Amino acid sequence: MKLKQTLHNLALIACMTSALLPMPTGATTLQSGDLIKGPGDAVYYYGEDGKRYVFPNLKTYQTWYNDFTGVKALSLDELQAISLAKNVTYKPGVRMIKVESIPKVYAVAANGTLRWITTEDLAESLYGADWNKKIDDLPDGFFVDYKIGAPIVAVADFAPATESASASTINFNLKLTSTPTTPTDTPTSTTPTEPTTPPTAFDFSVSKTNAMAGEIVTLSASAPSVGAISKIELFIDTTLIKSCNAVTACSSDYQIPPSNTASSYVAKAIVTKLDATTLTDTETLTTVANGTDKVTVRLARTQVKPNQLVGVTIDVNSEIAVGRVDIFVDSQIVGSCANGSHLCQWTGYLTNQTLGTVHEVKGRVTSNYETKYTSFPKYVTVSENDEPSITVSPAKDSIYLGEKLDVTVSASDDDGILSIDVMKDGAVLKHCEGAAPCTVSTGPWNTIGTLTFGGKATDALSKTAENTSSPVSVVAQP
Amino acid sequence: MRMSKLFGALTMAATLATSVVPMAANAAVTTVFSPGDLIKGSGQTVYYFGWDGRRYVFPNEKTYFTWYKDFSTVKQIPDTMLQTVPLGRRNVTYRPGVKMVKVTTDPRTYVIDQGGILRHVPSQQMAETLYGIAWKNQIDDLPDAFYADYKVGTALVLSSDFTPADVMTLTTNIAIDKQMDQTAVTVSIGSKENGFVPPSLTVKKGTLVTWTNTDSSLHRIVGNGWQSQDLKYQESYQRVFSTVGSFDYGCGIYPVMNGTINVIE
Repeated sequence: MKLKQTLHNLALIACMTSALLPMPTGATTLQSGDLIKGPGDAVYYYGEDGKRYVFPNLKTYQTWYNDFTGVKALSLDELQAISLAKNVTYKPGVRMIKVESIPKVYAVAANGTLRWITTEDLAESLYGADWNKKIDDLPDGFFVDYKIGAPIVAVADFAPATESASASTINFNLKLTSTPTTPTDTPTSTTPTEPTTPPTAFDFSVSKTNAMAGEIVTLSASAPSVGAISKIELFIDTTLIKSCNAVTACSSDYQIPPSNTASSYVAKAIVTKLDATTLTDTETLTTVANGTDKVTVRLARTQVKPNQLVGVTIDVNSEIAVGRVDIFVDSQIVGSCANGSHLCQWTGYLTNQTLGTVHEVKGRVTSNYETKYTSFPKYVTVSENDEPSITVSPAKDSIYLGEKLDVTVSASDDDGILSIDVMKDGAVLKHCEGAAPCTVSTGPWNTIGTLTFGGKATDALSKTAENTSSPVSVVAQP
Repeated sequence: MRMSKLFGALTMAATLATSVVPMAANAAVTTVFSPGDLIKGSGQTVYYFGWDGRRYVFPNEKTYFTWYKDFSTVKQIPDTMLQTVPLGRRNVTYRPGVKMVKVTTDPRTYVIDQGGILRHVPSQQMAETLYGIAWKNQIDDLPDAFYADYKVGTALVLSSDFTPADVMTLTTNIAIDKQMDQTAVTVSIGSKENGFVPPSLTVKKGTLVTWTNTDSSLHRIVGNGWQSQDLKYQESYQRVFSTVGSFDYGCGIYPVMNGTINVIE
C-alpha cells in the first residue's frame, strides 16, 4: 500500500516536472547559486565563477538542500558548455564525518575544514544525546576534498549552529564570493530619524580597569544619536585627551605613564548636547604592580593564521622565587606552570580566530611570598594565511626558433609547500607534489615572439598563489 | 522520483571510491613495509604508501589497474597501523599514457600526462594516431566527482606533442608521477598501543627522516645521543641519517614504543 502510494506520488512529480520544465530550446538564464542538471540525473551547483560544482554524493547535497525543487534542467550542450569544477563539501556544522579507515570523528567547519572531535563527551555536548546518529561515512576517495583544521578539545572550540549559519551559501563556503549571502534588494528608504528627545544617557567604557605603568588603555564613549550632540570629550583626571565634534562615538588610547605612576587615574567622558547641557560618566583605572623588568613574554609568532598554533614562552628573572606562572590570553588564563620553573610555555589555539582580531598575551608570576608580577603584554594578530612566494625561472631569457626551453618554478611558504605547477596561458604544463622545485622542458617553440610562463603553488593550509616569469624572446636563427 | 534517481547515479561514484578490492586470498599480516608499497588493513581497500608517510587512495579500480596488473604485491598490515597512517592529500590518478579519459558531462576526450594533467585530444584522427584503430576502446569514463583530482593542461596540437609509450616509460611508478621527494621519509607516531608506523624502516644514507605525531598524547623521540622536544598532535621532528648502520629509537614518554631506522649505502 505504502509503496503503491509512493509510486503514485512519484509519477505525479515526474509529470509535473516535465510540464514545468520543458526542454530548453535556447539559452537558459542562469544565476550564480542556481542548481542545474543535464539530461542525466546528477545535479550541480552553478558557482559565482560560472563553473559547475559537483555534489560527490547525496549526503553532501542534503546538508545544503532539503529537496530538488528549483533545479534548472539544461540540454546536454548547455551543460557541457559550463566547465566542471571541484567538489562541493558538507555544509559546516550540520553533520559529523567519519572516514572508514580513520578512527576519528570530525566536525565540519567552514570551507571544507575537518576538525577532529577528540572525545565522545564533546560530540555529545556539541550534537546532543543522539550524536552518534549524526555521523556520515565519507568514502576515502573524497577525503581529499577536505582539509584538516585544529582539533576540538573543548566545547567552546566549536559551535555547530554558528558554523552552519555563517556558511550561508555554497559560493561563500567555496570562497567564490566574499559576501556571506546572495545580494538581496536593499531597502531604499532608510532615512535616519531625528531624535525627538535629546539623549539622557550614553555608554562609556575603558578597555581595562587594571593596568600597569606604560600600558595602553582605550577609552570609548558612544551616545545614541548625532542629532542632539555637539561634542564628546575624553579626560584622564583633569587632562583633556580627545575631543570629538558632532559624532556619536569617540575613542582614544591613553598610555599609563611609565614613570611617576600614580596609584590610580580617573577616566572621564563628557557629552555636550546641542542645548549646552552635559552628561558625565567616569571609570577608575587602578595601576597594578609592574613586573615588566622581571617577567617577559616571547611569542613564537606575532601573526597567526586561523587554525595555527600560538606558542607563548614566559621567562622569569632568576632573582624571583617562583611559586607559579600563569599565561593569559585576553585576560583568561590559558596555561599555568606550578613547578617553580623560571620558564613556562604554552602552545594552543586562540578561542576567537576571526581575521584581524588582536589578542593580548601576558604572563603573571606569583612568587613564593605571594607577590604578583605581570609582564608587559605582547600582541598576536589573526591574519589571513600568507600566500606562498613563487619564482618562475626560464633557463634562458632568449631562445632561437625551434629551440626547447626548461622552465623551473620554485616556491616557499612558512607552512610548507604542498604542490607546485608550471603553467602556460592558464594550462598546467607540469604538476609536482611537495616543495622541491618543479622543472619542465617546453617547446620546441616555433613562432617568433615572446613567451611568458606562470607558476602556481599551494601551501600546507591550501592557500594558492600564482606568479609569472619575465618574458623570454624567441628569435630567428642567426 | 528525481531524488531516488539521483541517489542511484551518485551512489555509483561513492561505491567506486571504495572498491579497489583484491580478489586473491589475504596473505599473512606483516609490520614490515616501506614507501612505495601497496598496503591494506583487514578491510578491502588498497592504498599506496608514499614517501611522505601518507596512504594514497585509488579512487576506483580502473585507476588501480593502470598501475598494477593484480593484487599480488599488496601487504596486509595491522588495522591499528593502517589507521595511524594519515590519508594522502590527493588521490592516485591514472598512470599517464595508458588510457584516455572522458567525463560524462564534458564532450572532450583527454590523454593523461604526468602528474594527473588532462590534455585535450582535438580530433578523432589524432586519437587514432596515438592509440590505434581501436582508440575508442581506450577511453574510460571518469566520474564527475573524480574530475577534481586532475588538472587541465595544454591541449594537444600535433600528435608529436604526446607519445603514450614514452610517457609510460618515464612514469614507472606513482612516486614519480606525483614527483614525491624520495630522499625523505616520514614515520607516523601513533598512540602507545599503535606505536611507530612503520616500526622499522630501511633508508639510504643521507635520508631526512621526519616523525609526525598523529596521536592526541605527547610523544618524544629518543635515540642514542639525540632526542626531540615533546611533540604535540601534528608536530614533527626531523633528523638526517648520514652514517650507515642500524639506529634504534623509542618514545621518551611511553617506553613501550620502539622503532628502528636501518641506514644503507
